[in-house]
Amino acid sequence: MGVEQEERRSRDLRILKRLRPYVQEHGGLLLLASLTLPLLAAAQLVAPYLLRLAIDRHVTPAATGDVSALEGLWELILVFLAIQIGEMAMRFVQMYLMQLAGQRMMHDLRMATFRHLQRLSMSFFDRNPIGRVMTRVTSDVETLNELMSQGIVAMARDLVTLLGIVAVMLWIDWRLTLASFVVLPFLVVILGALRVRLRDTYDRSRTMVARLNAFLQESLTGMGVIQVFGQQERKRDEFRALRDDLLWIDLSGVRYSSFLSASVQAATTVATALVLVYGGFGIIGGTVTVGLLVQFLEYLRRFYMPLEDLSDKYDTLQRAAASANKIFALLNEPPAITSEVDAPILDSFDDEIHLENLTFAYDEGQPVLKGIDLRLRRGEKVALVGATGAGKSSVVKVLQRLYEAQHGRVTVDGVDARKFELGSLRRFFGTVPQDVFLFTDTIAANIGLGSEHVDDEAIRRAASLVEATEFIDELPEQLDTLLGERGANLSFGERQLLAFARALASDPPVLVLDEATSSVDSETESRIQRALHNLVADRTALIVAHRLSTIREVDRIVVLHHGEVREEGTHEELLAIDGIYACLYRLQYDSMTLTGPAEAANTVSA
Amino acid sequence: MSMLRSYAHLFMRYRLRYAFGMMVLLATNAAYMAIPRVFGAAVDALEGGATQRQMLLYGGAIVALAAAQAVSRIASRICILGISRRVEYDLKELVNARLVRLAPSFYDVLSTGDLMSRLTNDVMLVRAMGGPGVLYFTNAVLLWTLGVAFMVTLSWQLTLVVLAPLPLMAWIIRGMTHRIRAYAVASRESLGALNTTVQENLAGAQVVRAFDLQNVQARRFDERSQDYVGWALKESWTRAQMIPLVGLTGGLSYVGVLGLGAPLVAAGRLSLGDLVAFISYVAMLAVPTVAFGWILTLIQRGSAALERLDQILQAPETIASPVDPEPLLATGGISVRSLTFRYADAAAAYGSMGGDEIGASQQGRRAALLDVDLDLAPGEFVAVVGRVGSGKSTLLKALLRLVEVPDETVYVGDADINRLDLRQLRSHMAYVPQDDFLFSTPVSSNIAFGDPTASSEDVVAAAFRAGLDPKTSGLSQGLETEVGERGLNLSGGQRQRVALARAMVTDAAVLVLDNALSNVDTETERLILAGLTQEQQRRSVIVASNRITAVQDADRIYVMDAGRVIDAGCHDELIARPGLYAAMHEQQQISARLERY
Repeated sequence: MGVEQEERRSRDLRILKRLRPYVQEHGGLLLLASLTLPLLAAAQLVAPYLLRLAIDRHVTPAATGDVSALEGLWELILVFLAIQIGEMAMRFVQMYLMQLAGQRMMHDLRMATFRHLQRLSMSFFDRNPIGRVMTRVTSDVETLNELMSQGIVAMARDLVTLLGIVAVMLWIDWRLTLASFVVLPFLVVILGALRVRLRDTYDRSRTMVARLNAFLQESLTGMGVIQVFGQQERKRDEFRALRDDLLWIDLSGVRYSSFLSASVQAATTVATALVLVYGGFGIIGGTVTVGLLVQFLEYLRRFYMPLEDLSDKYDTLQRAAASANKIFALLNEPPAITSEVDAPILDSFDDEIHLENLTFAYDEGQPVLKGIDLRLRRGEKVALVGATGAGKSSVVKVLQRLYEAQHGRVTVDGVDARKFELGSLRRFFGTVPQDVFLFTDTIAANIGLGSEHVDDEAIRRAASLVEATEFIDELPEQLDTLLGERGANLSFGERQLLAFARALASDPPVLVLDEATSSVDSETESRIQRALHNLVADRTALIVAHRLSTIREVDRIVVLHHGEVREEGTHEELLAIDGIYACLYRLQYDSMTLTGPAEAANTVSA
Repeated sequence: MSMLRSYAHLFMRYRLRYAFGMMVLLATNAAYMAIPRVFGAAVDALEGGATQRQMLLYGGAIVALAAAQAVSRIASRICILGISRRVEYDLKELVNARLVRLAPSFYDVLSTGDLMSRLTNDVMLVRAMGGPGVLYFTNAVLLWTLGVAFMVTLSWQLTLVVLAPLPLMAWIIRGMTHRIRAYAVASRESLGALNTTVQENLAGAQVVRAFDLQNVQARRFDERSQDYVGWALKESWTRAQMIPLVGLTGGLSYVGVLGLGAPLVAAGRLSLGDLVAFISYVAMLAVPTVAFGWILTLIQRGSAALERLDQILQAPETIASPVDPEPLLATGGISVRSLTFRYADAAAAYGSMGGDEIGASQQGRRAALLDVDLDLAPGEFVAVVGRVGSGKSTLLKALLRLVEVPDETVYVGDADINRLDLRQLRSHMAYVPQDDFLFSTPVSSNIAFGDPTASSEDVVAAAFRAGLDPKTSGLSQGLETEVGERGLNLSGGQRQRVALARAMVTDAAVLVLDNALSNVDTETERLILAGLTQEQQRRSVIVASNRITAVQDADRIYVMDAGRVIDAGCHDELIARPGLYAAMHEQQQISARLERY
C-alpha cells in the first residue's frame, strides 16, 4: 500500500507538472483571482470578531439591564454589513475569473489533445476504438475543467482561510485552539484511508465508462445492422451487463464518499463540544467571555466547512486526476510518423518515384507487402492489379506514409521520402481512398477541404472534370448544399464522384486512385474514365484497379499477388505471358465476350 | 419543469428508498439543529453560574448528537446518492431501448457524436439532479423547517427577521435561473457540435491524413471549442452573481438578529444564550441557502438534459410493428405496388431535431422512388439495375421497411408489410447493405451475428458460400481474425464477404443484396453469385447491382432511372430493345472489348 501511495503521489505530482504550462498561460487571470484571496480570508476572520465585540461590549452588558450599552451597536452592525457586501462582491469576481481561466485552460488543453491526435498515425486508430479516444478529448477534458475552475483556486482560497483562522485562533487563545483541534488527527487518518479507496474506485469507474461508451458508439454506428438482423435484445443484454458492472463500482464509490462527508461533519460537531466544555471552564474561571466563545464557534465552522466541501470536491478531484492521467497518456503517445522540423517541401519531381524493396505488416509477423519494388516515372501512368487482399491498398498507404514500412523505402528523385515534410509529401499525392469519407459540411467544403491551395474556381473545375456538376446542380443550393453526417443524403456513387473531385481540386503532381471505380455503375464509370483521361494526360498516376477497364489508359501494369510484384508490363505483354494477369482478365471477361455482340466500335473516350 | 413532471416516474420508482433516505435525513438535521439549542442552554447556564460537571454534561450531549448525526448522514447519503446512480442506469437503459427501435431516418437527423453526448453528458446531468440535487434540496428544506421551528420557540420576532430576506432571495433566484437555463441549453448544444467534429475527425482519420487536413481540422475544432467556451462563460457570469447575492441575503439576517436581538436582550425578553443560539442558526441556515442557488442550477441543467433525452425518448417510432400483426405465411414472394417515397418526408418526423433542415435540403429533389412496381416470386432471382442515385438502394431498403413506406405498397405474399410483425418481416429476409458494417469482434462472431444459434459448422459453411474460404481469403487467423473497429483490419472485399456470410447464415427466405459485392473483384463475385444461383431452390434473391455481368442470369431485371422503374424483363428481352439497359450493356461491352487492345 505504501508503495502504491508513493506511486500515486508521484503521479499527482506528474499531473500537476504537466498542467503547469496551461496554468501559466493564464497566469494573469489566476493572479487577479488570487488577489481576492487575502481579502476574502480577512472578511472571514473579521466577521466573527465583530460578533464577539457586539456580544461582549453591547449584548452581555445589556443582558444585565444596562440599556446604554446598546449605543454604538448599529455602527458595528453597519461595518459588519459593509464587510459582507465586500466579501460577496469579491466572491463574484473570484468565481467568474476562476471560470474564465478554467475554460480558457480547457480550451488550450482540448486544442493540444486534438492537435496531438492529428499527429498520430493510422496504426494508433487501428489499436484504439474511436469511442475511447473521443472520451479523452471531450468528457475527460470537461472533467478536468472542474479541477481547474473549482479545484485549484478554491483550494487556495480555503487554504489561506484555514491558515488565517488557525493563526488568529492561536493568537487569541492557544489552549482553546488546541482543544478545538484535538479531533483533527483522527480525521486525517480516516480521510487518508478513504482517499485511497475512493481513488481506486474512481479509476475503475472511468475505465468501465470508457468501455461502455465504446460499446454504445459501435451500437449506434451499427444500428442498421442490429435492426435488420433483429439482434436488439442481444445488444440490450450486452449493454446491461456492462452497465451492471459499472453500477456496482459506482455504488461502492458512493459508500466511501458518504463516510468521508459524515466523518468531517462529526469532527466539526465534536470540536464544537470541546470548545463549549473547555471554553465553559474558562468562563467559569473568568478567563473567557461569551463573545469569545461565539467567535471561536464561528471560526470552527469556517474551518471545517471547507473540509466538508472538500469531501464533496474530492469526487471531482479524483475524477479529474484520473482524466488528466488518461489525457496525458494520450499526449505521451508518440507520433510514429513525423518529419524533421526543417524538412524540405515536396511539391514537384523531375524523374521518378521508386518504391525500393518495401516490406510492410499491420501486425508483426504477418507481412502484407513482401519486398515490393516499383518505379513510377514522371508522366507515367501505372496500374496496380491483383486479387482482393493482394496488398494493393497497402502499397498506397505506405506510399503516403499513412503507415511506415518495416523495411525498404520510397524515394522521390532518389531522395528518401521520409526526408520531406510530411504534410507536403501527402499533398504531393492526390488520393481517392477506398472508403469515401465525407464531412458534415457543404459540397464545396468537401471538395476543397478548407485548403488554402484550393479556391472556388478550382472546386468548380474539379467538380466538372469528374462530371459531378450534373447532380450537384440538381441540389437546392448546388455547391453550398450542406451534407448530412458522412454524406448521408447522397447516394454511394455521388459520394464517390465527390471523392474524385476532391482528389483533383488541389491539382496534385501525382494521382493515387485506390479501387476508386469499384462501386460506380458502368455509365458513371465511363464518365469518370473520360474525366480521368483528360486528367492523367499530363500527370503521373498510380491506379489501384479492381476493374480492368480502369487501366486501359495506363502505360504499365503491375500485378501484385500475395504481397509481391509478380508480373509487370503492358496489357499485351502481360497477356502474352499468360500468367496471373491473363487469368484475372479471362475470369472477368469471358462471360461477357460470350454473350456480347462482336462489334468493334470504340465509342468511349480513347 | 414540465419535463421533470413527465419523467417523475424515473425517480418515483425509488420512492420508498427516497422516503427512507429523507426520513434519515430528517434525523440528521434534527440532531444538527438541536446543537445550537444545547449550546444556547449551556451559555445561559454559564451566565447563571454553572459547574464544570454541568458543562461536561452539555458537551457530552453534543458528542452524542454528533454520533447520531454521523450515522444517519452516512445512511441518507448512501441511500439518496445510490438512487441517483440507479436512475442514471435506468435512464441509459431507457434511451438505449428507444434507440434500437428508431428508424434509420432518425440516425440521418442526429449524428452519432450528438447521440453519444446525450447518452453520456446529459444522462450524467440528470443523475446530478436526482442525487446531489435531491439530497441538498431536501436537506435545505429540512434545515429551514427545523431551523424555523427551533427559532420560533426562542423568539417569533427574531424568526420573522431571519425570514424577511427570503422573498428577496426567491426573486433574485427566479430571474437568474431563467437566464442560466437558456445558456445551459445553448452550451450543451455547442458541446454536441464539438463532439461531432471530434467524431468525424477520428472516423475520417485516413482522409484527414491523406489530404494533410490536420491544420484545417484543428482550426475548425478551435472555432467550435471557442463557441462552446463562450456559452459556458455566459452561464458562469450569471451563476457567479447568483451565489454571492443569495449569500448576501443571509448576511442581512445577521444584521437583523443582532440589531433587533440586542434590544430584546436588554428588555429581558430574550436570554443571552438564546441570542447566541440564534446567531448559530443564522450561520447554519446560510449554507443551505447558498446551496439553493447551486441546487437550482443542478435542476436547470438536469431538466435541460432531460429535454434533450426526451427528444430521443419521444422520437416517433416511424417504423414499428402493428399492434395486431398479421401472420407471415408466404415464403419468399414479394410484390411492390405504386410505391412512392421521399427522404424529406421521412425526416419530417424528426423536424424539431434538425429533420426540417434535411427536409428543406432535399426539397426540390425528385422522389427517391416514384410509382414503383416490382414482383419477386418464391425462388426467383430478380435484379435491379440503374445509374447511380436511381433509387435501387432505397427500393431494397423499402422491402425490409428500413425506410417508411405507405400502406398497401409493399407486400410479402398477400400481406402488406406494414401489417406484419417487424421482426418476422426482417427475419424473412437477409439483407446485405452496400455500406457494410462489422462489429469489432472476430470474423466468426460477425457471421454468427445473423443467427446467434448457428453452430460453428454453419458459420464455416456460410463463410464458404460467401466466398470466404478461411485458408485462401487472406485472413491471418482464419475466421478467428479480429476485424478491428469498423472492420478496418479487413480489406473492403473481405468486409463485404463477411457481411454476405452474415446474411447467408440465416435461414431467411429472401436474400437482399444491395451492391453487396462492389469491392470484391469480378472473379470472386461471379463465383459467389453462381453459388447463390444454385441455392435458388431454397431462397428468392433480389440484387441491386452496378455490374450487368452479375445480373444477366436473373429471371427478371428491373431497370431504374430517377426513382422510376422504366423497364423490366429478362436480359435477352432488355437487350433486344433500345433503352437504358441496352445502353448500359453496350457501354460495358465496349469497356470489355477495350480491354483487349
